[in-house]
Amino acid sequence: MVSKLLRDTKALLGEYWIAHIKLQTVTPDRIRPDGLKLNCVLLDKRTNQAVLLLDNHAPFGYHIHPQASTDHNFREEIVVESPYEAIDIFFSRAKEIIHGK
Amino acid sequence: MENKTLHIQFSSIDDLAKETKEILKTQKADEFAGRDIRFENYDQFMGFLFPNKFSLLVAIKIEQPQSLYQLAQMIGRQQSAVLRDCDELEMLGFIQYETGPRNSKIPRLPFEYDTIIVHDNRGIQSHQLPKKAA
Repeated sequence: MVSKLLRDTKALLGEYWIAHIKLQTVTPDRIRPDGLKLNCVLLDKRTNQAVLLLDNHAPFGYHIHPQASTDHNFREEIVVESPYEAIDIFFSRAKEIIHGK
Repeated sequence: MENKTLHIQFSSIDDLAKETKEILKTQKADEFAGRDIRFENYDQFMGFLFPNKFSLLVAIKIEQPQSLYQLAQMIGRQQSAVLRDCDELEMLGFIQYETGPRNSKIPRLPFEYDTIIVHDNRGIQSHQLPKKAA
């Protein structure tokens, strides 16, 4: 399978937040057995730092970096049965951050 | 022609989530992938880009400054304000930085777009960037 860019979009959300959503199909392999490469990032434009990051790769599968700006190596495993659930989790967390919850 | 266009569309965070899942389901690529920037509404877009940041885009395209300092000099604004605006343009994908001497930031368009098309529910609006000087 040839890698195909399905989505690469940046969005300004509220006054301070920028989301970058990138979704690609890739050749299924040991790293990404489902053949998808998903990167969702929420940036704080006041600091130019990522505050939330979702991606997928072995050995973690889909996972969140909830302290992306301070500790990229800290990962929170999320238990999902599909990438759809991972996307829902990212956007739900992003909304909490944007609305200051 | 088409790859010389940057597209502006409007979506809420809920729309973004829904669209992303729809693209995943259909595996049909987003028509403007990589050339698409979203705002929540028209007023937010206008407030973000005009007038100062649009002037920066025009200067970056036409004058091709070799540093943010040079860009600030060209448009007669304080370097700190130009840096802040360029950082915001870069985070949203209107520009990208190349690395110059001593790790300086050289602002560039991510691709040679000359038109910004705004897809509004009232229709399509076009903002033209002037051509480079010969």
